[in-house]
Amino acid sequence: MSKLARHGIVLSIVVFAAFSALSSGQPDLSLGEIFTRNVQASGGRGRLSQVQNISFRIGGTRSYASANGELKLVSGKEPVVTDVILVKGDKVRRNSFNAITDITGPQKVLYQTMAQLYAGLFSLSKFEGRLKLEGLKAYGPERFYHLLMNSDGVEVGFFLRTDDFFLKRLVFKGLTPDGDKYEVNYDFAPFEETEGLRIPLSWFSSQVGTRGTLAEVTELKINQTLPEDFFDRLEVNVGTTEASAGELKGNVLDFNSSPFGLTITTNWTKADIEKAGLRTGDRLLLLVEGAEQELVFYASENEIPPREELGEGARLLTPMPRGGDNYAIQFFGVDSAQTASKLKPLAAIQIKKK
Amino acid sequence: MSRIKRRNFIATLATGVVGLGAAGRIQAGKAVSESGQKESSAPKIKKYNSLGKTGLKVSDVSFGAISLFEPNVLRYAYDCGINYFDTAEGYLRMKGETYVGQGLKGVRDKVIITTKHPQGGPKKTDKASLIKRVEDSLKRLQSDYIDIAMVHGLGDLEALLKNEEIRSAYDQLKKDGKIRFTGFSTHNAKLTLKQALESDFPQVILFIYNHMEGKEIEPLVKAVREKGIGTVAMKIFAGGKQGKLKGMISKEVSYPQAAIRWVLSNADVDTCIPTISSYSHVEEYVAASGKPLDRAALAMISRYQQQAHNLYCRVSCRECLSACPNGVAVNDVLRYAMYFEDYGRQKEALEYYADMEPVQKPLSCANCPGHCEKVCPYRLKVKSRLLHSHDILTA
Repeated sequence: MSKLARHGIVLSIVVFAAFSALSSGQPDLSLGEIFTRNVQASGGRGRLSQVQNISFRIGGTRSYASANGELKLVSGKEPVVTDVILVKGDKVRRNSFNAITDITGPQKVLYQTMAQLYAGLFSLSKFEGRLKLEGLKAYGPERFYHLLMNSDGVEVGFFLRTDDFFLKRLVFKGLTPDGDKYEVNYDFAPFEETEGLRIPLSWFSSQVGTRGTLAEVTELKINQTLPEDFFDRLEVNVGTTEASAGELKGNVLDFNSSPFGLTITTNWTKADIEKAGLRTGDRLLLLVEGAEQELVFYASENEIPPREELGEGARLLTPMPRGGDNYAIQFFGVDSAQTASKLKPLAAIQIKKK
Repeated sequence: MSRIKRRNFIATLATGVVGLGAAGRIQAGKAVSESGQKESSAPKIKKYNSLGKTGLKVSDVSFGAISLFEPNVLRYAYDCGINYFDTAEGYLRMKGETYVGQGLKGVRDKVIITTKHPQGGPKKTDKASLIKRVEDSLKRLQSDYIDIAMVHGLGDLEALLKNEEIRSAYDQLKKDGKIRFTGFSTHNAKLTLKQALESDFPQVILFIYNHMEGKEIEPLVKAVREKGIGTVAMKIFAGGKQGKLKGMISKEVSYPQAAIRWVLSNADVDTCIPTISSYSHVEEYVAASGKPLDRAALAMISRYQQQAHNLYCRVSCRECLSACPNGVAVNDVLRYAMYFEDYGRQKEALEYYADMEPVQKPLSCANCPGHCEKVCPYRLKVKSRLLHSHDILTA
């Protein structure tokens, strides 16, 4: 073979190799290069630095994330807020119906990671210096860059598409405080242009052992004007209660009306019931938006008679039928459309012992 | 330059040009196998079974494609060894078959696809309409043939076989090579499996079988299997309530893995189709392939049974149906509520419920003394659950 021919073959191979590497998604990049491409794909550092906060709704929960990596998750039918989860500094705390607890273990790492992820508009920008490159991982014909972060004993795996460098999967692996396996997966939809941002508008999350849920982002907002102390406050808004002998004042938290009746979730808890001195079988008068209804009180679910004994049109004050610390007003077999039309979250309600 | 040296030189030159070889970089040939996949991380199917007398060999753990997030999950499942994929005309609001077609493009000849068409209700069931519906499925599946075409949700095989139009349509489709085998899925196995023993129509049957309901149909499953009918188990997670129960994941086994192993411990079951939505489901469920029902798995099953005993409506039980004076389809209403609350398939559940005849809905249950509850062998609070189901399914 002539020297020229050999050079020709070598050159062809070089060109082919270069083309193959490019067309297969450049699987040969360093961690730094992958990081840079990922941040660029989300608009670059300049664009990301313009975002001071982002918020969006998933189902009944609105998430607010700040550029500093604070995160606040707020649940409840507005203006009611029944649950708040706040990620700030090294703490992740939850306030559920005014009961405040610290979230610890792998769940804490998950919230902290999501806070950083949202703050960086789903890019790696907030994880700089904390990641190491594991290699490539194939899922079917698709290959992803696999980056790993260790946080408080929890392994957080980031999987990035090799074509556009966007985040595809996020996997948390660790042990629960009981020593059981903890593995939570997020699979992100392709990133889409919306409100001038490139983010995923849906993702499927599942904890190993469960079916998982599809999250769909709505009501996306950026750079909202938030109170200065917004990420300091953990309080919920479940109205106020007043209890005295034989009398309770409070608020509606939620309600659900159908041709079969009405369920009103109240902010009364067992402590209020005890202060009012209510006993199973007590007859009560309910006052709501100027209307009066008669109720019978049952302190526990076990004490509620079967439906056929209660009869048509029964109206009760009972513990929440599906669990929880609150009490609910229930109308059975009554067309309650008129009462329901007067209700709204935080509407004032009152009961008096007859 | 020797051959070896020249090869090294070419490789070095090539990597230099495209930027490979720096410390700390991924080298595709090093980190991944030839197929581009890390060999240590992907679980593989360990066992394949004959599917009745079809001549097909199917993975013991297969793919229920009723709730997919993206088509590539199907391809990952194939790479992990799953070769049997179950979909239906109506899944994912008519997009299910399209996803299956997209996901399995390129490996169609290596996989077995089942799809299902309901016969009855609002769908047209004359011969030409049925053939057209199957041909539409083929387009969505990007395939010239369906391996197993099933009648979806069959309640009574005899009634189906009396319908000359339907039988003739399936015969024609087989003759034309558009379907290879026929069968049905059923929520009424106690009747339809018995009927299957007297019929040549079903070559594969898909039925409910799990650790909460299934024991009583085992003799029938054995009989149809001995006749050469392929047996596929569905609803193997017994209502999917594990997210609400305690102790459903341990170091040794997760609840879904234990449930799969329970189903596959019956040698008369050829395969099972857990619903797979994500890559993690693939890895979790495939890891149960070929594994015995050991002590840890049994303990997990026992925990589920204890906690879910009077929560789970056994769909194939049907004891309440004859007790209801108003003809309410109690098991279907509670099944759709289960799809809504436990399966995370709210939109489909609302559609299924909307399609029900009004007489089948619990519209007059509020004034009823609850005959259904009195006959429920599992003491479920059927009446209040029916009322609650109507609430959520019409919200």
